[in-house]
Amino acid sequence: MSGEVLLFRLFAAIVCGGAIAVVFSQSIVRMAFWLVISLGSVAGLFFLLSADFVAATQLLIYVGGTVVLLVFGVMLTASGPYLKIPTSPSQVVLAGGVGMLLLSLFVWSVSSVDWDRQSIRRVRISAEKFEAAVGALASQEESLRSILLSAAEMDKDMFADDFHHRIHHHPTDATKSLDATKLKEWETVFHKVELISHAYSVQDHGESSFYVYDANGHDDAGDHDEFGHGHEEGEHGNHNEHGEHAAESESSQLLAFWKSHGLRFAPDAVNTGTSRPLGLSLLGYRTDRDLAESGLKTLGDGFYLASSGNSLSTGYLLPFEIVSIHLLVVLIGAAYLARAKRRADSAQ
Amino acid sequence: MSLILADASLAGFFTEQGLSESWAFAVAGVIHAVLLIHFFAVVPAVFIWLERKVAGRIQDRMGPTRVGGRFGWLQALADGVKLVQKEDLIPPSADAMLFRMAPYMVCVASFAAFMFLPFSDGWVAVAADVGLFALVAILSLEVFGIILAGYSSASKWSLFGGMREAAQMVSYEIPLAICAVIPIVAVGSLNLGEIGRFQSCDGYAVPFVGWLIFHDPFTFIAFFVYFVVATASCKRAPFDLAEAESELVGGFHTEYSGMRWSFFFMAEYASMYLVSAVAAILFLGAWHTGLGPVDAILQGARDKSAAGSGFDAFGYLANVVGFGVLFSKASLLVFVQIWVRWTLPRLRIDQVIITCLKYLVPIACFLFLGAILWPMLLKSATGRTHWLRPLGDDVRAIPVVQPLNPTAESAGLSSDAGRTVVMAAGEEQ
Repeated sequence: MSGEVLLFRLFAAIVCGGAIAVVFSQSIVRMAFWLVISLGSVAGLFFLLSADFVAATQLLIYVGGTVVLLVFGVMLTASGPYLKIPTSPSQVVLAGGVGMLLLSLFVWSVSSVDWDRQSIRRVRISAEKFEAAVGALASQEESLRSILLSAAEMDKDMFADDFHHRIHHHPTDATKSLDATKLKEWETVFHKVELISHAYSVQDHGESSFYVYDANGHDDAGDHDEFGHGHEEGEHGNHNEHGEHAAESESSQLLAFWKSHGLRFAPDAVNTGTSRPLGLSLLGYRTDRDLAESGLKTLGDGFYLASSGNSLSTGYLLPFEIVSIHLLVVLIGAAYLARAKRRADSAQ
Repeated sequence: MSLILADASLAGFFTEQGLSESWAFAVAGVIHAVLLIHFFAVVPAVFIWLERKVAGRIQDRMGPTRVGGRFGWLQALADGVKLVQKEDLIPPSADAMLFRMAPYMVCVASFAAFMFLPFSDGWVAVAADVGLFALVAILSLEVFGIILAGYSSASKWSLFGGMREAAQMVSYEIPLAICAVIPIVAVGSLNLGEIGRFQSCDGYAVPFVGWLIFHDPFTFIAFFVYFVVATASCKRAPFDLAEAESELVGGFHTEYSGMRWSFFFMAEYASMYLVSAVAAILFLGAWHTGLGPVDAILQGARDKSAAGSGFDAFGYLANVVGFGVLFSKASLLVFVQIWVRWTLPRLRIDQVIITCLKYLVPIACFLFLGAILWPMLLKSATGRTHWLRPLGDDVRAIPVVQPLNPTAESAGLSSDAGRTVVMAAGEEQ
């Protein structure tokens, strides 16, 4: 378990523990305290995902602002030294119902996202080198591993785009010189590559990068149409029929092979900084999809980016959901405060 | 991870020594944290001693003279030993859990803010692009611990202290944030490192004019407004209503004793240094000396060190000098805070709130507006965008930097660590 995962679990545990403690506390100020712990840990998670601005805003608005106001309100309105909230069974049922609704909303929004695509590790591959290597070795089925290895090691200037698309629609000099059988061989190889690596590309500042999934836990190869490979859905369907288990074992074997040969998957040290894909996605930037426009996008110099035309609204609403539930908690707390004060008044 | 834990260079050093990457980061993170904690603990000790000496002198006394020699150097240490020995009292009617947690809350908030504070060019635990914003946000958590302390003590004095603190902080955070934004208007970055680099006086004939306080009349006034507000946010006299000894016994810390009590003061003195250091970075030239030729030499050594890969003794020395300069500026401001405390009478709570809402907030808003309009006015009046430099003559701007990771850039995010300078705007022309 890497240190990052450890930190994530720590923060996540504190978030959940704090939230549970908020629910089960009877004293409003203790609730506020646990709310601060919980919200602060949410900010910690944002920092961990390198979404610094969201984290700081979380701290400033929710912890530094709202909760302080809440406690301030308690101190002004409290009749006794420590205000307690007794809850009736009907309130428990009502609150539980609302809570379950929100929980189901969360589950729905979380499960509607392909999180595996967010855990991509990047391998950059030089387009020319890759083409050369494939051209030389495509006919030898056995040598697929060395192709991938050599190509991935040549982490140089330009990066591979969607090769498949490129060969079909935007031939370069290298591809033009190949005959039909050669192309067919290429396609076989590229199918393997895609099958193994789930490679896809995202526009990075005018350059295209060739992304490769992390070894563990990626799903089957059938989702490629999401990345604009619509023109070859049939072929991908065939892949699925071949069986996912075979693909998985093959991919994990190959990844293990790459790793044993010193191929490094997007270094934990350097490239993860602010750009952890999950962190970006929390800000609405989805590395697994091109949100900007549908169809093909010209990147210049024969590079084209295929996209499936998802609108921005499919980006994550999760942070907003989290924020809104916090707001809800605070509002309920405020309502209780007003109630508690009335009760104290009527008692006198 | 590199952002969360530490500056990449130390981790890189350990990786070279044969540690695995994650361990190298862990070790580098621990070293940075330990350094920060020591800074966090030693600085208050020094300032508490300074406060006693300055208070003594202002009141025509000697101050501490016994412990550790003629000037009482070790008085703070003696105080600390005394406090450790004291019994840890919790009032029977207090909410024990909150009572125990409150001092930690204050301490952690104050300490966490140090993570974003640069000590010299590049000497910062977390070099975030929203450094100033994160720093202000974390600093705003400190008030919560104070309020909790006041509330959980089950004492009227504490409760009043806590309420005053809450009212004061909620009001003063507004002008504090606005005043902190005014230099941002001039620089165009929330990154404290870039704000510091912007203020080099290299190229100016007159000393100190590169500092943001002299950038325009609005930043000049904003510095003083910021300093007043920052003093209030540290609950220092004349704004120390939360602990007003003459009215509230001890205010929010009436019921505290021993180490828990001392945590509040450690956090208070650390915050004093923190807001002063932020003032120095935002307005007073950060780690730059203000003398053009000296700045040029030092910054040149730093840039050379940053561009190279290995350890550069000159660059390191330049950074040490920068740290000394920044520390001196911040300490001077802390001294002013101490001086003000022992000179001015305490305000009443209504006066405190009126000062903020009726005067400081409108002034801050006016300054903010002025700082925005200033370049336009100056340009239409004199044809310059900076009062010392003609238009088009070496326009100062922060260097355009290229992030290491294009993914971050396309999302408009980038980290300070590991970037390379592509070109300076001045060279572009």
